[in-house]
Amino acid sequence: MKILLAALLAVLPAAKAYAGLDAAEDEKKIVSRVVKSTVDEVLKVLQNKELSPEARRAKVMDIIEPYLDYQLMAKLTLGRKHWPDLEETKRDEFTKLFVELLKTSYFEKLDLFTDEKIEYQEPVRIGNKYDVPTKIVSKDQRIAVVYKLYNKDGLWRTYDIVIEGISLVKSYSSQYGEFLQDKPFDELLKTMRQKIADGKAKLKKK
Amino acid sequence: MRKGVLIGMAALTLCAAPAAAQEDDFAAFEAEFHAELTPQKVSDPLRGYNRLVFGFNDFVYLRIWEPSAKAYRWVFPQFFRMGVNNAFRNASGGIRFANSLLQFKFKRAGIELSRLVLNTTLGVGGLWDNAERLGIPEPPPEDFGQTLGRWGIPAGPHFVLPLLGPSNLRDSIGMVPDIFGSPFIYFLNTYESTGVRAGDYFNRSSLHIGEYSALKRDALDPYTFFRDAYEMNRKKKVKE
Repeated sequence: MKILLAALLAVLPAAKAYAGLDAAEDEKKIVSRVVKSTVDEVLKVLQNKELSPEARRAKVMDIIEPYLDYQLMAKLTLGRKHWPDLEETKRDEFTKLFVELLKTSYFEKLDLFTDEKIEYQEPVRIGNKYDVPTKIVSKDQRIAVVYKLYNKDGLWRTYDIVIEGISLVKSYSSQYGEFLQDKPFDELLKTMRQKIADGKAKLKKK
Repeated sequence: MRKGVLIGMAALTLCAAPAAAQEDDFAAFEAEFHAELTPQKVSDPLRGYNRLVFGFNDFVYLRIWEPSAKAYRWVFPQFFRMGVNNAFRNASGGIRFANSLLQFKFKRAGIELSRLVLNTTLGVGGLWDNAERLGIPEPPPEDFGQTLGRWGIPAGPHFVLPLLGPSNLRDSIGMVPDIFGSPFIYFLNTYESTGVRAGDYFNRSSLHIGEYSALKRDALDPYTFFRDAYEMNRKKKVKE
């Protein structure tokens, strides 16, 4: 009886480790699937010439919205230096403007998309988050785009996108940080509003 | 009295919870965004000079360089300009080969060499990238600035070069040996080979019209954006 118990106990840690490996493999598959299905869906919408540009943009937003945690991106952009000191209303306003800015700049890039192909690579686990590397292959260049995902309440969401090594969050954070070094926060909001208006005007022209 | 204390404590905890949750968020991303999350002054000792030269480069690029490249694009069809681009890329294959070797990236050096041979022969002086078609695509390009980075030399202060654009101390110094890796200086004089280099950049610009402006529009502060984008991109290049 005791021997049986001992044998079982010996096998258990190994079994647990094996189950752990399986769980990691599953996670990789899930994360891969999240990125691949989202990007593929977006591409399908972009290649649908029957829709108007506005309709296409709206559809694309619907597809990516649940998987992009832009609240977190806004928070990380301002960081510990500025975010904690802001009142709720200012935070909400900043987040709203930040999202609009991301959208207008993203939409402008979408219009440049024609027939590029996407190569998906194996996700890399970093701590409890995943990097999902992809490549946008066009006629004369390959652009490396890495989606960085983390898990919130069971859902995998993107908190940063790194294009050819350039992190979206880091580049915004640096610019906003330097801006706020000598100018007040309200001025930042004003500049953001101006940028959004300019961006929207440009989109309308198309 | 006790009830009051209890309610007070509960109220405090409720207030602290969101703050704690926030701090949790920051803590969870600490490792990755350390420089961004904690108040730190960005190191840019040559900022005054850099901004000036950036402004100058911006003006020259948008008012003179790009409009000329647009005219060039209008005259010459894309396959011609791609051919020229391929030929120039091929000609600098020696530099990539040498730098791959210096970084002990032997497989990469081998690929660069085979591409050089294939494209110079089958591709008629590199006009066509047949190596890519045969399944040997270009690996991440290596230059001497990256070699120095691999050897552990830090990037040094950000440093905008007149006309050439953003750079840093290490990469600027690294440009010098690479000039000797280019075939042109061996049969052209200094002015001619500079002209050839300029021709290479000009042709390349014609293939990327509008991109600079698009990126600039997105940025709140273009100088900061291009500075950081350059440095982040170089870090990635040194790593790969």
